[in-house]
Amino acid sequence: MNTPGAVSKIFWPAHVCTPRTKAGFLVGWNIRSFTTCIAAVISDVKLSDLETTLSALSTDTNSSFVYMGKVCGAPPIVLGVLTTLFDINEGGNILNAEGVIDKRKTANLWMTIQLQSNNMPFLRSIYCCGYRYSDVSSEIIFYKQPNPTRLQYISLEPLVLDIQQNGGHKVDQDSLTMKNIKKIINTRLHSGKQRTQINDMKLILNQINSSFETETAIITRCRHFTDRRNCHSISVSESMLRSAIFIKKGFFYPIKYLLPFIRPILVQPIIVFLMLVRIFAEMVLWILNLRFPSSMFNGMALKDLSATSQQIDLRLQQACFWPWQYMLLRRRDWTNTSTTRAQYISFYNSMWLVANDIIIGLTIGSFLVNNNEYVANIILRDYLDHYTIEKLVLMIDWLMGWPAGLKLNSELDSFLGELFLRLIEIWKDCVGFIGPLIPSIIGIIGLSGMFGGSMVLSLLSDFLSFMTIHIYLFYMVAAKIFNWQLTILYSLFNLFQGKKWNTLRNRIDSCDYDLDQLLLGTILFTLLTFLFPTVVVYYATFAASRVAVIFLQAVMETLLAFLNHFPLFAIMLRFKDPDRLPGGLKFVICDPDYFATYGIARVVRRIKSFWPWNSQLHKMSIPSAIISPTVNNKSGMNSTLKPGRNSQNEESDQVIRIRKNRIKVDVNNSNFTSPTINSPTSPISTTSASWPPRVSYLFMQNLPIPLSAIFFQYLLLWRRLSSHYFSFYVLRCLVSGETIRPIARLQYPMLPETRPNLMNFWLFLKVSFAVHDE
Amino acid sequence: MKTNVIFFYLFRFFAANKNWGSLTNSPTNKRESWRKLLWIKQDYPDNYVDSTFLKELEKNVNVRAYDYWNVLKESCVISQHISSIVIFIAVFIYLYLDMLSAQNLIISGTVFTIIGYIFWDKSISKTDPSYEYKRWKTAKGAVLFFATLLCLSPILKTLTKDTSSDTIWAVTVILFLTNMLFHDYGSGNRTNIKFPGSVSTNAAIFASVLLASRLPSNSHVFGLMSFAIEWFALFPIFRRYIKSLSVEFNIALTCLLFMLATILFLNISKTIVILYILGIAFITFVCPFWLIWIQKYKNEIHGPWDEARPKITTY
Repeated sequence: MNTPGAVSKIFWPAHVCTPRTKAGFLVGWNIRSFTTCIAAVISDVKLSDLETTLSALSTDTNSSFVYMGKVCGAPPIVLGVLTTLFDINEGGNILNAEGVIDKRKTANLWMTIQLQSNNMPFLRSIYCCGYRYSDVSSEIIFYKQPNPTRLQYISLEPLVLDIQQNGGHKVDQDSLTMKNIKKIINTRLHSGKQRTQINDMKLILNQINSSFETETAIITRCRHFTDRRNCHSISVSESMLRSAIFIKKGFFYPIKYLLPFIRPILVQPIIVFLMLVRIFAEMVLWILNLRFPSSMFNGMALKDLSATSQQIDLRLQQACFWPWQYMLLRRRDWTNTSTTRAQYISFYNSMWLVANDIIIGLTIGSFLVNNNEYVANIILRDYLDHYTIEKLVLMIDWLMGWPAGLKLNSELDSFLGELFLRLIEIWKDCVGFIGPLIPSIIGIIGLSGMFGGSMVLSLLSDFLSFMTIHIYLFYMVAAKIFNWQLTILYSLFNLFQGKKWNTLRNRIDSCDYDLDQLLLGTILFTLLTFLFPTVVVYYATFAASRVAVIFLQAVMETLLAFLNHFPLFAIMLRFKDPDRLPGGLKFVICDPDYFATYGIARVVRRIKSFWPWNSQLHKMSIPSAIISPTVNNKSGMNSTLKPGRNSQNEESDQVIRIRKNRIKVDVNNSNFTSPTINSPTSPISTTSASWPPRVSYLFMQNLPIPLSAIFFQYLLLWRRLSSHYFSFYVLRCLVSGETIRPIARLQYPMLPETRPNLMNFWLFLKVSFAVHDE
Repeated sequence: MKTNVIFFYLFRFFAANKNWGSLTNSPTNKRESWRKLLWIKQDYPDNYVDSTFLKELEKNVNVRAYDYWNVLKESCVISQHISSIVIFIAVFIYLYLDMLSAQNLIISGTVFTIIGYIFWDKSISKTDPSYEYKRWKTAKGAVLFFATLLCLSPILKTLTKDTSSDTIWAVTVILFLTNMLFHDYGSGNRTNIKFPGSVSTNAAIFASVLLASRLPSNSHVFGLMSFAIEWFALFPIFRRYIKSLSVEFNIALTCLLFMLATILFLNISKTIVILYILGIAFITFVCPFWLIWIQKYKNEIHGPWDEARPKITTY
């Protein structure tokens, strides 16, 4: 490893790079020879104390640190010292601190890092088992420490908001990522290392994710050490704190004292009440999901027939699921952070949506209740009557003439026309009967606004389908006639050719018909051929009106989906705190003056860097490689294969030199375990000989998940709608006159497949109230 | 292509006889004559072609020298069919122009059908004793059929009321051409054939329905439809039967039909009569000569590579 080209790689928390940072010890993990991940800089503590604290942490079974050590591969250790320019001026006391020199000689890895005047860390020296490696170039990768209390974390894989996702999809995505990573790594001929490299990356990400907790834990425990050493007597502040706690206890004591008496009176009725509500919900769900016998309504369930029952079903299922989901969130789970986060987002999203829904519903509802006469007039007179009756009558009148110069059979034409006109008359009578009730129906719909705008919308959708039931019937009649005629024409055409459908072999065979069959068949064939256009015209009319109604219902369905599944919470998070929605990683070459300024000055400088004429800064802000294995974005992966904008000369492109600052930014020459682009190290190693060794700075940034991933439900909905309605099936149905089945109402992936059953709910109630008891 | 076929043949031969291949392989000084066997090592190069190689090739095996008068007699079938189509059209025009009453047509059609049926029945029952029970079925079919036709004729009458006549004429011409092209002119003795090719019959019936739908009254429609069925479905069977009886009858029927068509059309259009006569003359006299003349361009080869044909011997 003593080659001049050795590179040490340091993951460095960005928040350390401020002028306020004091000299201290570096605590972190050493993953591989020179690859380290720094979690914290601990200052004002003795080395021995720090080590005791660390060992105590790693053996403390009460805290989650044991598990954290497992996830991170090893417990955190002291890796070296950080010096600042001021310390050196003052005499560099930390370098000469007690135990440091010994440690330098014995430790597996011991680094001395100096924080420079521009607040950039700089590797002064590196010792490995007491041997000093000279001329080690360093690659410092900054990371912004994710704060787990704010639910931030970073990961290679994008956060999948779909909580119902099945395993298959995930495997697919993984394999895609692996394939791409393999592609990238294969450009470097060290293909044997790829497996460990990816694992390393995962380890590092875990370490970074737990760095915040490690830092806070170490700092609090070290403070305890220093406190104990400094003064054994209780300080003033501490005594103040204690008295405060005492007062607080005294204030809450009566409540705590009374609680055991009140509890038994309250808890039992609450449990019974919740249980009754749950049983009622379960019964309603059962009724809604009950299928009709197959002779009625094609054996569909009630919730497939009406939008309202679908909406009730959805809300009840959500209500059954929420307590369970909430308890899931309360438990802190180290294993799969992403699932917990997704559940969290899903839970609060649905809560928020329900609240919004009710607000919207109350608004619309109060409007409808107050103006029910007016709305009923508009709906009934201006739209429903006008379009579903008057226009239809006009249309049929037109068809009974010679529509568009079509040569229809007058007799059949007038027969069909009379038939449908008579049916419309009957329907008109029915509507006249319903008419006076419509204001009160609108009023009821308005009242249902208390249950949310979605309920109003679904009731309106059902109302629409009820008021257009005659169109549905006409369509069914016309479609049946059309379909029969088409089938008969097809088989008679076969007869005309002297052929016949052979059911045994599923094909058309030639056949010897008897003479009378042949003659009658041909006469009927002629007859039907000439009657066909007439039937087609009527069928086309009613099919078109049916399609219009279906389209209206689809629009309402989409609006419902908008109300029920808008990812409000996720969008809010995306803008407020993108770190909570990790969608991959991005490595940006870091400007050496990045940490030199802070506060408002930094903001000004960042804004400046966006100015296009500021060429130098612009050049530096080219992202060298973006790692974002997004779920369904192949082109995103391709972009990682071709770093840099102009890939004509790969070598010159990958090595970006910024001469002015005498810092060579070499992204590629890295044993870095992430899928950055690795190229042979030779061109660099031959040129390097001089002190100081090169340092390259990268900033590892979180890439928030794309909007498409946030709107996954809409994508899914669109895909299902389009695959059903824009399919060959619908076209075939339209052409052949089979009835178009409307899509089974959409169940979105907001809920788990199975809801906990009643027994589980009972146990759940018992347990959750018992926990309170303690 | 040809060599491929030959090699395939040789290979097949080799594969069939490979068991005794080793026995014949004995070295001799004298150069043996070449044999068409692939599995023996012979003294000849691989690409050697012997003079006996294509010995089994045969040319124009199935070609018969036609006799002009025979061909002429056979062509009667075609002229008969064309004549019958022309007669049908003429009958329609008479009906359409009210020069022929529907009753007359129905009566004469029925009479001729019954006569023809009795004639046919007598001769069939002589050769085929199992025919007896079919009579009942035939009668039942006929009654059912004509009853249906009677019921359908009002619908048929108004079927194409709103369609322009030009369309109907054009479609009818196309359908009659289809009928003519697809008609089963088979010359073999096929007394037992049930009916001529169904496409042809169907096209003719379709055309008749179209024509019938232009007629003014129900009885006209029924008359034309029943006539069409007699003329296009039953009459060809009768014609075929006549032909199998004797050549003289056939020629006589041809002349009769020709005369009938000419006379019927004389009242309608002289041009069409001339065109019709010229057409029939062409088919009857020029076409046979043309066929015989064209025979000399025939060139087909047969050989052992042809697929095997079963030889059916009747005892």
